[in-house]
Amino acid sequence: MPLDQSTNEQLPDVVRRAQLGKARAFEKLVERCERMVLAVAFATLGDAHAAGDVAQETFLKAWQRLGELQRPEAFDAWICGIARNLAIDQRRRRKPDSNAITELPIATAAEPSVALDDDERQQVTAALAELDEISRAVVVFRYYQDMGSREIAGLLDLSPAAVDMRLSRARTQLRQRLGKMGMENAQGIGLTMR
Amino acid sequence: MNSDNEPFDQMLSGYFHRELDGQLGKSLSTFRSQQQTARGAGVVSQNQRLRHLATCWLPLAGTIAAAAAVVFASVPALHWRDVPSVRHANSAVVAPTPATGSVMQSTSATDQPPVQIITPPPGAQIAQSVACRTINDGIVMLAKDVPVQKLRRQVVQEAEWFDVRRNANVHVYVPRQEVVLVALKAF
Repeated sequence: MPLDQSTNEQLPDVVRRAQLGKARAFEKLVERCERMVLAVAFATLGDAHAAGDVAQETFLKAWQRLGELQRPEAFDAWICGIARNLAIDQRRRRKPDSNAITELPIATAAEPSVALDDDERQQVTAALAELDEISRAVVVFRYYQDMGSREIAGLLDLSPAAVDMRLSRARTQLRQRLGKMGMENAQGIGLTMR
Repeated sequence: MNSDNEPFDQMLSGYFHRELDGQLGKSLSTFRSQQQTARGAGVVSQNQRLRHLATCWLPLAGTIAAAAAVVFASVPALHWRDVPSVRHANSAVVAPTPATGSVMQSTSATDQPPVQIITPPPGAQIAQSVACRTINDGIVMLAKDVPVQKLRRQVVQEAEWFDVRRNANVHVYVPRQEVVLVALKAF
């Protein structure tokens, strides 16, 4: 599928133009890959704001180092690697008490429904934090980016079967964890969260 | 995915969208603002470099010039023809100066400038700087009884501008080295 519908330009062509210093071409890459980079950072950090910061830093760094990319068709895996390394650095720098996973939900008496959503959000965040990093990345790619097993496998250097297995186990683990937290009346969860 | 998983899948999907969608677009904004900053940095950069040149290099250059003047005034003149020309591969006598008795040699890689200078487009804002230092390599013997003081003068010229046609920052970096040999009186 072409990256730019108007010019029928494929990803490697856009990457090559960006490598020549074309900022417009790089902007297209940012638009295309932002979700993916956010997903990688979120899988490592478990905090949306920190993931957003890492995503911004990732693209700035990628722009500076774009000349080092030898295979333009491998841009996705390359930028995911940058995002993951930056997220790991960020995680090392963070103080233990600033971890978003341990944040308390913000509840106000005037907005009980928002407080309930926040409570559920905290529970899902805590359940995700118990997954290993690769399984968490698989879950984020699958549910945030709606990516197929083969695409995820390509980014995480796994086989599609391994991705399916990890996804299945992660789903079971999340169900059990959320059940212990009192969220196993899952029929209603999707409705309240969306 | 079977229908039993559907509410659970919807819940997870909704969770991630709610968490992360608020972060979308920030990377593009940051990149654009960084690009604008980089384009406008030429004037700031030029000012910074001029200030750097004035505070760091001009006093040093003045000191070196004064030291060189003292050396030139104190040593007896040596006719340049008496000094054997030490011409290594990749070096050339650039400016023999008989009046002061010194020989100046360029030791750049070739006789031609090592870097081809790219001409900036008309109207481009150019940030330029020149940095130089002189290294005293001590006394060397040119021939059996001809001692000279060897000084190496290293100069780095830098110019930077934004090329609108290429949409790229152009950075030209020209390092040069000159060797100055000052004649000494042998006792």
